[in-house]
Amino acid sequence: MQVPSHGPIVLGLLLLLAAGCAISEHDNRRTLNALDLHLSPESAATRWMVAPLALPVGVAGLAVDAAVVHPCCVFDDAWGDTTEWLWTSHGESRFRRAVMVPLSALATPFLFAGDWLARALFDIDPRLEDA
Amino acid sequence: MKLVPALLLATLSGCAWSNPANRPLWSSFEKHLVPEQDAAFYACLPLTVPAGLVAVLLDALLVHPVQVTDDAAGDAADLWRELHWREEYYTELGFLPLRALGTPVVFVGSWFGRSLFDIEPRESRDPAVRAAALAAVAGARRAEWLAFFAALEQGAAAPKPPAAPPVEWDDELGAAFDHAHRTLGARGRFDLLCAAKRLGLHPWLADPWLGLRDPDPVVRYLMLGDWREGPPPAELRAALLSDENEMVRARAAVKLRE
Repeated sequence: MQVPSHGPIVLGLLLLLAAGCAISEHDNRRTLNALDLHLSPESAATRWMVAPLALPVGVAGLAVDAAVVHPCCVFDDAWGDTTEWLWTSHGESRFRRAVMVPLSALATPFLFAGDWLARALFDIDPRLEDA
Repeated sequence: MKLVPALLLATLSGCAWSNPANRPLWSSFEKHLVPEQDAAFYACLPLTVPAGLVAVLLDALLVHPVQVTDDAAGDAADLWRELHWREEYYTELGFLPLRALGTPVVFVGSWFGRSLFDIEPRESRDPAVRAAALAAVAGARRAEWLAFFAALEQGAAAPKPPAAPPVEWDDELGAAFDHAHRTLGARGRFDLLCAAKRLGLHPWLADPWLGLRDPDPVVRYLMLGDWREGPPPAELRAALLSDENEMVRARAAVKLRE
């Protein structure tokens, strides 16, 4: 069976589109917010003049936020979710915890990866302890 | 096999056709050309039935799709409203290509959706209905802001502010804002001031130096970090430059230098 050559492109576009959900939130655009805060021209005339240079900078900032900065910033939240769901005792007996250890170990990478991917792609509130 | 998608589309467009407002040709035909009296009604059926079917098809495939073109254009134009070039220059530039690419996609998607389904028009042409719709939006947004102030006062951790400012700022909103600002702790006041600044609430527009006069040095420090509103009054500037907190003084010296 032949794999369609445009498959990865479609997947990439879908991922970018989904990541658009995350970076539609102001707080998830750290690079762009920093650029807006420190490098925005004050006057409208300057804004027009530097637009040809600023446009690729803005697009690159958006791409960096979507593909690098935001995904990196949600590592700790994904790890927090994983440890809370799998490795934090919720009043179970000692024996039950011992039985669950291998299962938790098995589930940890999957839960962490899934949680991280979801947080990287969609606008999910940060964990309260990190807020 | 090509018949199946066409039939599916025709069936779906039945959703739009279920609303009398979306079938003007049929309504007009039924009102003006179908005889009322029994004898004439039955006698004309061989003519009125095929003509009625043609009216249905024309409504579904031509008239209603044309009717919704301006609404679809309005939906696409929404992508280009409320751009904050001054405050978010690079963000707006970064999203510019996505907006450009998204505009035809939104237009075509909205046009198809509105052609096939009974989706409420963007705004009614009846002034009374339009006024009622506007009042409903204003009321809902006002309620969202009151709920936001209440959530802050109840100690919710960083509640999300509404997405848009109130349509009109009134005394009750002003009182709720003032009360929250008076009674909240430093974290709550900071969230309140950030929301007021970001969405241009009336108290912020009236007094953009509110955060710089905050009793808590951390709030003063944070508000100074994001300070882009131009120089504050001379006495406030002097007070910040000689602030009791060293960090505030240092940041004021950088941010408020002349």
